Amino acid sequence: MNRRDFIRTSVGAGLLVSAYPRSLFVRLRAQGGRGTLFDKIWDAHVVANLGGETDLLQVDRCIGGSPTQVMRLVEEGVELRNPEIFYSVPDHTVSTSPARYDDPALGWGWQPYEELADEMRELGFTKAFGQFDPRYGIMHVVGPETGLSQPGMVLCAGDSHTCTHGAMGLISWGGENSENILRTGTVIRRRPRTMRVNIVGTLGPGVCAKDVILRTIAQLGTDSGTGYAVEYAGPVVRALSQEARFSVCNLAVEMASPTGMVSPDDTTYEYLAGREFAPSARYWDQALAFWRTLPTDDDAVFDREETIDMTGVEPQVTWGINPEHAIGIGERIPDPDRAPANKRATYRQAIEYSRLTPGEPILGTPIDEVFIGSCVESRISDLRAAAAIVEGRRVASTITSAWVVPGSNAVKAQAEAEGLDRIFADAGFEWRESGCSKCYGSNGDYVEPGHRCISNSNRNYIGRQGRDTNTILASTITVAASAIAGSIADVRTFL
Amino acid sequence: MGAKRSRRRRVAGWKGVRNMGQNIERGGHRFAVHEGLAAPFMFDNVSTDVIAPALTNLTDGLDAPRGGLGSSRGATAFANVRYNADGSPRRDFVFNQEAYRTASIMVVGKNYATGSSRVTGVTRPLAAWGVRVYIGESFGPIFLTNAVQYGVLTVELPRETLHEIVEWVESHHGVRMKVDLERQLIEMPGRDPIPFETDPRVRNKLLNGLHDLEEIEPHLPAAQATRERDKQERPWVYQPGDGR
Repeated sequence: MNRRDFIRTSVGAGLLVSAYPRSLFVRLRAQGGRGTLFDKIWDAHVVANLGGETDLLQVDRCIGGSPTQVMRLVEEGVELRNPEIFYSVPDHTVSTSPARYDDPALGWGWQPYEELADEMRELGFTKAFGQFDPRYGIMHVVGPETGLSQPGMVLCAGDSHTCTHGAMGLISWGGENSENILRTGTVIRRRPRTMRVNIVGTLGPGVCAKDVILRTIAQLGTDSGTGYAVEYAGPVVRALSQEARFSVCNLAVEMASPTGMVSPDDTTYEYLAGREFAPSARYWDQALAFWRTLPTDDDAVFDREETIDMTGVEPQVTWGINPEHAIGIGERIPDPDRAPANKRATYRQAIEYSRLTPGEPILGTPIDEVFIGSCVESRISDLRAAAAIVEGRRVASTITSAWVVPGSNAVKAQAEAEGLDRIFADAGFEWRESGCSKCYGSNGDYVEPGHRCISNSNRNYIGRQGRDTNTILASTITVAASAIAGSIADVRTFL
Repeated sequence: MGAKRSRRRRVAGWKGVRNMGQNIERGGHRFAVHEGLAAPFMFDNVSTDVIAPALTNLTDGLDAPRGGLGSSRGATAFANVRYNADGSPRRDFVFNQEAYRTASIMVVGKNYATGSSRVTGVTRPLAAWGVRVYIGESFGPIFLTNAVQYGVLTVELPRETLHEIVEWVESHHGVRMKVDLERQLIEMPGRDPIPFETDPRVRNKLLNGLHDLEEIEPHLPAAQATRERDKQERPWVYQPGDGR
């Protein structure tokens, strides 16, 4: 049964919602919360109030509990609670070189891995995915892709881009200590305020989810989400595919909100159905009925509301040293002297670092390297879109390195089945193994000093991709087009 | 292999929670009063990528001055912005200046330490090198939580007050500032103290050196009850993934 058919069998679930007497659902309503997706999930997970706005919450999923950490705790005699809520993927540290399967220095660093994985399984930690596992990949691609991230959950991890999972209609955040969760299954958290960002208008040609979120951050500021959990809503978000929604929520932390979310809908449920860890047929209808109670109510109250109008917005690219330095592809590089007083110092630093000329068009700025990958946009739909741009074309000869790094082993296999790897290779791209790679060079993949790299990742801070490197953030298709042009390009001329 | 397997049999109760101790690796540090030199670093949106670059091996072989952020380990902090391409220290960078080399209090701008969490890469090493207090306009969301765990105090003050502090620091080289969490005051010789506010829970935690686990422990029975009920209500969350 394919996914859509599977959903259809449950679409009578409207009936199920009213007939669903589960106490969790009753609790949600009885507490008279403020009706937001965030408040409903949070309230259902409170174990105890710890004073003021700080609660002890139950955790449903934790990306953590690596074999080394688990074995150390076992050695200490600690009882590890709820091993089934954990999964771990060493995505930051494994090289994306094809040699990683043979060269121990490029792999997970635990030998023999299989032996450790066996021990983990006996302890109940069945979900440790090393580079040999077909489910290996970037943790924020793997979670949703395997069905581990589901609506209504509280999901924590150490990595800051854990906000990505919020696109499934759950609360997630990074920076969490997985040892505490291994020991207790709970987490202490101060309740954030809620913000809704309504994305309205229509997306022009060549404008996609990444442009939506870059525009949002440029408008609201890279610190605008401090203290808030953000829900992205509005007609533009509703119309986005599930994979595109990950791209939006991924950059929530770039506006300083550790939590980004989208209310779940049929797009979400269809994406989830049939995946390995998704509810099985036995529980599917029950789960679906529960999920349908989660979306933000029409009369919900947020602490703050913002609206971003996408009508007339061009594809976005960054020129500076933080993600709010995004402008339209047809715009000029800003002049620090004309910047708002409170931003002048940062603008000057950005111009000095990026070696760009204020007042010049950003379009046509030469680039040295190209990176397509990362937890933002490395899923199959992103690779298809990039392949459509580069098919039958060649990467410019001035580009010293153009990489495509699939988000997971599963994405890689799917792309190869569709022949996308050939399209990229024929165009002059290097087709790599899955992982975090050049977005953050902790696995030995990084941009050469002095190079300007156009990247579909999420951070362009000083030195993010390597020493003295200048990162231009853009959507995957803008990056693909720029690879062909050898300079920052307008993807609309490639469509 | 045999030896490894036997480990797993020794799984015991909650003693592990109490065994947490107070070591720097795991946090749970006391903070009451700190006296030290302050350094101004008034940039906005300084990311953890800047504070602790992923490629810290790039600093290998750099001449490392001693003490505070100038210590040999501390020399890797801010590597991408504090050295020239040839590895020589940039004179305009604050921790390369004699007056601020041993600073243990940083006066920062808005959204400091935004970006990646880098618990082990940012908060912990900087605490180990001696940076115990950050005074700034606002902080990255993840950094705030991490800091408490490592006995590091973050003080939020309005921009104008920060400028007053920086002015004092720049005109009082070598004079120590006192940050008192008990009384919630920043004391600078020769001027009125500056009051600040902290979340009462965070303050209590720092003053008593409480670890998160110690705070959670009394609620463990409730947590277990919640989990058991949840397994009945949302059985699909706990499915092993083989279709059962």
